[in-house]
Amino acid sequence: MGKLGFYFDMEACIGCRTCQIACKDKNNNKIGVLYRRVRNFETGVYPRPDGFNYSSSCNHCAEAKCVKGCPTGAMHYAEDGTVQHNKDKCIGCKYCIWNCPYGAPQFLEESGIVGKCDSCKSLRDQGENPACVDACIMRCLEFGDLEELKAKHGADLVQELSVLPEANLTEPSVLIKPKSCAMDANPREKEV
Amino acid sequence: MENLSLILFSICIQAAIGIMIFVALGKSLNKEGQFKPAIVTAAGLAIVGLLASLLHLGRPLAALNSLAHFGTSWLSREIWFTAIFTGLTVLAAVLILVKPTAKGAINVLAPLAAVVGLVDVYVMASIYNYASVPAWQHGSIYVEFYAAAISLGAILFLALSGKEAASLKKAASLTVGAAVALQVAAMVLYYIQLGTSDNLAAGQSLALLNSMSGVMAMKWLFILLGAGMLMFPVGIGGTKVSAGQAAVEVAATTEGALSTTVYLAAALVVVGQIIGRYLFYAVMVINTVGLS
Repeated sequence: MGKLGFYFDMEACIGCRTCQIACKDKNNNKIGVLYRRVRNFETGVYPRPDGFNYSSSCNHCAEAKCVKGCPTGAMHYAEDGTVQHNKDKCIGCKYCIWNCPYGAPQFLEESGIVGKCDSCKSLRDQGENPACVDACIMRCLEFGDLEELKAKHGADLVQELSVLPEANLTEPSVLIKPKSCAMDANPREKEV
Repeated sequence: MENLSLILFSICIQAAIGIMIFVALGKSLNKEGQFKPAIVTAAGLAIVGLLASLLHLGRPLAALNSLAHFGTSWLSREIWFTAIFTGLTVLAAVLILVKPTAKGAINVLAPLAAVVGLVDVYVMASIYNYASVPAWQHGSIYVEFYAAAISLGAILFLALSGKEAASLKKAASLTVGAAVALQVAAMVLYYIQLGTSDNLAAGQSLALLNSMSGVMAMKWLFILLGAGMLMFPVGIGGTKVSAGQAAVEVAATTEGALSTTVYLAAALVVVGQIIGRYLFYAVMVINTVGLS
């Protein structure tokens, strides 16, 4: 089995945030804690304005800075290659939060430790999809073997956008079908 | 002040390391020197620093877990080196208090602690340099940390050691001057990089820094004034009396004024470096989606 990761179809995404809510519900997260987050961006100027939505979670990077930086081993690779977090080992030093260039790990005030997307491992172990994938009304999200996802969705998939860090920093396990405007320079995040 | 614990931790540990470096130097130049107040203060600072670091943790009782990943994690390495440095320094302090005759052991412990401490400063800076915070991804933070350790260490060592440090006074004062000069030069390069970066997180850090320009001015004013006072003591030494009672009195007054100058300079540099460290943490903006 190759590397597992998320596929995101930006062309189909309408920015409804159903994935975000499904994730929050699945993980029973408090207000402000989001393991999956949808952001909206504007690009261009009149008469050619454009925009795109980006739904992001932990990218389960092959060279995850959170795993390398974690002093306790709480952030680790599971047997399936996804980045998982061991709550018992975590000391709440927040170094993974400083290290992740995607803003994935979140500090949980009530327990004093960090939490993040585990790609719904418990669901996947039962043969189901992550909650965000099944919740998406536009079928923008998929989770699976990256090579298989590439074969299924064509060669025009990317791992870098103008709003993302360079992929060689962490080798993210994510495949994005981008809108062309998402590759333009200077997108502006829009508060919704 | 979420970062208060980190400011306290890094300043206390770096000051303690700096003191032990100068204790080791002092001992190599003055075999008879005990430097008791300096060693005891360094041990106290190291303990306070380590305890402060626990306050940063969400689960301080599980802090020992952080020793598990020396191989890959700079943070794990930092805890190892800081713990070893603290252990060596506290041991030296206990010996000097309980069994001052064990000079041989203290003479070995002090340079050992200094060397471990010097490595620890590098490790501490690497933690920040590795993080996805553009405002910290610059070589100048190594200079900033070493300059803080050396300047704080030298000036506190002088203030605490009095006559014992007489032979080191000039060298230590010049070292403070050199460390601060390097700190200024590195910061100029740092501000240029931050100002010319395309990264939005770096831009936000720069905006934060601009909004705190008064605090930044205070940092440099205190540090430069303190270092300057140490290198160029003013208002003394103008009177020349060659012999007799008057000469003794003038010498005593001059010495008193000199030590007051050292105390004042020490206070200024300590406050300046603390303000600097506050700024260091205050401009932290983590790279994330939309800020790259």
